[in-house]
Amino acid sequence: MSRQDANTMEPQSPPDARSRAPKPQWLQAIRQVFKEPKAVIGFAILGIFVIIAIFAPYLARFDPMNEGALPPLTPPNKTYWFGTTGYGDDVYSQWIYATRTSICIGLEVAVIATSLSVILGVYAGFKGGKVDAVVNWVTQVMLVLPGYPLIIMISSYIPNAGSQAIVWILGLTSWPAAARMKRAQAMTFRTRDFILAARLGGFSDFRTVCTEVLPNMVSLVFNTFISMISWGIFGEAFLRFLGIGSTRTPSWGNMLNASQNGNAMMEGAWWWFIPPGLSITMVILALTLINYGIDEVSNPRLKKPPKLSKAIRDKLRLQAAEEGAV
Amino acid sequence: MQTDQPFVQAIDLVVRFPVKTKQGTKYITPVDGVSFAVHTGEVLALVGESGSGKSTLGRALVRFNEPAAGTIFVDGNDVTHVRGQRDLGTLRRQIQMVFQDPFGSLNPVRSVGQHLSALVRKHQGLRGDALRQQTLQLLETVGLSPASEMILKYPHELSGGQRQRVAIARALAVKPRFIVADEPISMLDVSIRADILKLLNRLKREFDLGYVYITHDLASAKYFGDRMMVLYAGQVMETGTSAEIIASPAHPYTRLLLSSTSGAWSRDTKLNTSVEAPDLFEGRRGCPFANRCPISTEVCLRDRPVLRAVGANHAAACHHADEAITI
Amino acid sequence: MTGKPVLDVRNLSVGYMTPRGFATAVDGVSLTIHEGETVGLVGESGCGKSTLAMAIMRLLGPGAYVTGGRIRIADRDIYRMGREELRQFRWTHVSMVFQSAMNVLNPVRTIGEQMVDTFRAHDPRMSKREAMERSAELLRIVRIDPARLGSFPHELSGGMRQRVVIAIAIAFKPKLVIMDEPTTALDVVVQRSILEQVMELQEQFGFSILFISHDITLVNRISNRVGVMYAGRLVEMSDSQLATEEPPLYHPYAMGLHRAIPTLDAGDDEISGIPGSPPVPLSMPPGCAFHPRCPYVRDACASIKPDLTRHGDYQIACHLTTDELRSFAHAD
Ligand SMILES: Nc1ncnc2c1ncn2[C@@H]1O[C@H](COP(=O)(O)OP(=O)(O)OP(=O)(O)O)[C@@H](O)[C@H]1O
Ligand SMILES: Nc1ncnc2c1ncn2[C@@H]1O[C@H](COP(=O)(O)OP(=O)(O)OP(=O)(O)O)[C@@H](O)[C@H]1O
Ligand SMILES: [Mg+2]
Ligand SMILES: [Mg+2]
Repeated sequence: MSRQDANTMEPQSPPDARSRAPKPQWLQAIRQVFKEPKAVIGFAILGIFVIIAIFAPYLARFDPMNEGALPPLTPPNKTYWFGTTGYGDDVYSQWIYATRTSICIGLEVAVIATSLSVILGVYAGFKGGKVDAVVNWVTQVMLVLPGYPLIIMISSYIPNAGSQAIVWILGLTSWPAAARMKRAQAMTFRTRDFILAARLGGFSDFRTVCTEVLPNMVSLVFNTFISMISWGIFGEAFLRFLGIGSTRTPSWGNMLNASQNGNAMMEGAWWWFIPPGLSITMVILALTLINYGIDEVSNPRLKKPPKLSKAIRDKLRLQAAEEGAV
Repeated sequence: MQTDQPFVQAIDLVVRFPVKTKQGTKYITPVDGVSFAVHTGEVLALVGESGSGKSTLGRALVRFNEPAAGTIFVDGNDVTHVRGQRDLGTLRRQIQMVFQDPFGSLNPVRSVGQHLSALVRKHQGLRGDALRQQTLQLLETVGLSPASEMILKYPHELSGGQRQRVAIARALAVKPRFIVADEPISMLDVSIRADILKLLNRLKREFDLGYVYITHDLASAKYFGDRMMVLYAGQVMETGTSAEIIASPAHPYTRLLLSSTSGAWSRDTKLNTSVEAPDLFEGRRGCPFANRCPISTEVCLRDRPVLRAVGANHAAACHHADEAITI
Repeated sequence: MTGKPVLDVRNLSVGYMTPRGFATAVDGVSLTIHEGETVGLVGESGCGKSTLAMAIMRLLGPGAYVTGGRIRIADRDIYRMGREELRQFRWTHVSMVFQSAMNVLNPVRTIGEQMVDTFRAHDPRMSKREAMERSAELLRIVRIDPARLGSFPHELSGGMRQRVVIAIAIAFKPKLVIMDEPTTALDVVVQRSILEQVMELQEQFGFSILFISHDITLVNRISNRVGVMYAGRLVEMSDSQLATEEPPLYHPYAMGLHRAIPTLDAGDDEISGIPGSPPVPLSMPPGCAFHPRCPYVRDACASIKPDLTRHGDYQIACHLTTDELRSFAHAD
């Protein structure tokens, strides 16, 4: 039997020998995301950066932080593809490693923040009662605290904060908005019949959340994950640019910070700050596109009708012509 | 088949809910002093007006809500106030529930197989191939064949009747001895209803299941229910064997229900049933049906009638039951 | 009844694009509803009733295509409206009680809040107090204690939720109300009293109703005219001015529907449906779609699609003659 008789009644028509196992909905959804041009462009751009991040050691041509071994402020040429910095580093190699750092930080922040928002938001929203009240209170407090000043304040207390410290600072401060959204959605599941049925089956709340609620929220979780990557990348760059944390790690933020300190702008050394600046913009753009793509697939209101195949269009036109309809 | 001890017994059950109104929080009692007993292999049909507390009563049996007063015995154990995962688990292994809305009671993102196999694994301790076989068996039991194809389907690929069968299979996966069926056929096409009722009936015989069958349809209550209990505004109006209640209803409300079911009404013959909704708030007095009753008197507004026998196995809560029968 | 036509559907066809191909769900249906009239529509599950209703509301989801015909509501073509115009037109001119009415309410807001929001969305001048009072009044019409305005949907019984949705649908006294199985969760007494209230309002304000149900008895009770759908086609439509002395005529499928009604005095094994199963959209039988299940099947039925033809007070799409239909309908 096929999809279109979803609503027909029993008794059953004989089994269709050709019918195969239907794909689970989420699999279909993922396929649809990959049909969405916006998402495809987003994934393509992101993919390039991820490949650079993975193969950084093979792509780099010089030690990214060799401190003045090369001629400073050389414009791009055959040896130094992106030129050199005012401190005598190869911009290209530095950018390659910086990509690795930034992408990693983005992913780590996303993992931390998404997990927290899911655990706190979904579980509390589903559970309700005192757990929810406490979590919700904490969320509200975190939400009204000013984000950046707080992060800057915490960071400046950690001298020479390395990547790890920054990841945790960003991860631990960025979950509340996402958690609140998930809580709102999880709450709507609390009284649904299939949830009651799962409770009747004797499954624990935790299990019910994992198997019944979360699969219904995949797109929201994925959305959060994607936005948190961009938040992580941007946040890291921002903090580094302000000079917070160790300047010895190659990262887009540190490159911008160094070019700022090295008066790259005044010296006309555009090759120093363009690569990191453009990268940040591109990655965030890519992630935003991906999120739009997901939205379009998961949000029925934005959904476009599927295209009719040409054969069917022709058939319909024929039919219409026969019946003399408009 | 019947033992002396009823499988499910409720004594003077009261369920209360807080309701926020402009005058502050007040309490409604959608189940107000209800008693009944059901054996395994027996069906008690609960009929009554929309909002009269049928579902609330059914849900109290699986302890989705906790009774404010009264006692529930299941298999001889007092379960009125059991708490915690373990004890509730024990109760819900014995009593399962089938919901009204076949579109809302299945998880849209899980396949039929996923709905069932987790339960079979948990409650029957099967793994691997035995698990699969048992799941297929379960689907065959509820008449979903070919099972090996059905197991892969998602709810949106099933018709309403098929979904309801899956929901029934899910209840059976736990191997319960009792099922609360909350209007299992009311959202289905008329032509499918009979099949689902027949399925429930066959399962009753096959597994010696007991049922509380909630419905607002007297014809199906008569077909499936051995006994019937008529609720109005949370109180029992009349109880007895289904055949007898249909043949000789003693309570004015039952008679209104019956005449509306079979009597021919059309656009032109209006019955003025449009009165205020029944008062469910705590502290009400008298018979809840009094404001609509054609034979109500002063006493009806003042005293709450108690259930009195009007025949063998037949009781009604009406001050004027004796007169009512003769009218 | 002859007022102005409020709804005029001509030759409407709607289909769904599915992975298996293009499945026609509504096939050349024509239907006219006049002012103040109630038209019932019955048919088995899956015959396309909801699809027709959604097409009229222009609420078909992605994957659904109107492949022919036209729809006019109050002389307006809603397929030619802009977004904002459409939003205003719906609910004020045409409203609908959805089939899954019990689940359309937002689970995390009280019904009072939701009703007030709906009012104010369509009439921004209405004050909150006024909207609240209107809501209370509407709840009273559907026999719910107005004190329950502060309740969340899950705190109401299934039937009460359904009644709330009916109340919202008639709130703006639109020209046309489409009710898709509006009373599945209601007992006969409440059902009757709600429908009587609705009909009273209908008499007062003169709106028209398209009442969709699979309960042929109920539809017969409340409608001026009844249409029967089978496999996407309208196979029977009665006139409004029935000559009541004449015994009714039915399409063979409708005869089956009438016999499948369980009655209180029937014996236990007498409930049975129509034998066979309804056709699957992608493999429609040729000719009359009902012929594989029809007890009176003729040779012509398997090859020629019958059109609606007049048989006395009825329009019936069947190859049988009026006399044959009459004799079969009253055989037992
Ligand atoms: N969780 C709750 N909180 C507050 N009130 C509730 C709750 N659950 C049910 N009620 C109220 O209890 C009353 C009875 O509801 P119930 O669902 O038992 O009715 P029912 O007989 O099943 O009606 P229906 O036939 O419409 O399903 C209703 O007034 C309802 O609003
Ligand atoms: N979104 C969809 N995609 C594909 N097919 C669909 C879709 N919605 C409905 N259908 C198919 O269209 C046909 C008509 O469905 P529709 O919901 O209109 O039936 P119905 O008469 O309202 O039935 P019911 O009484 O069960 O509500 C059915 O065969 C159904 O399977
Ligand atoms: Mg109920
Ligand atoms: Mg429908």
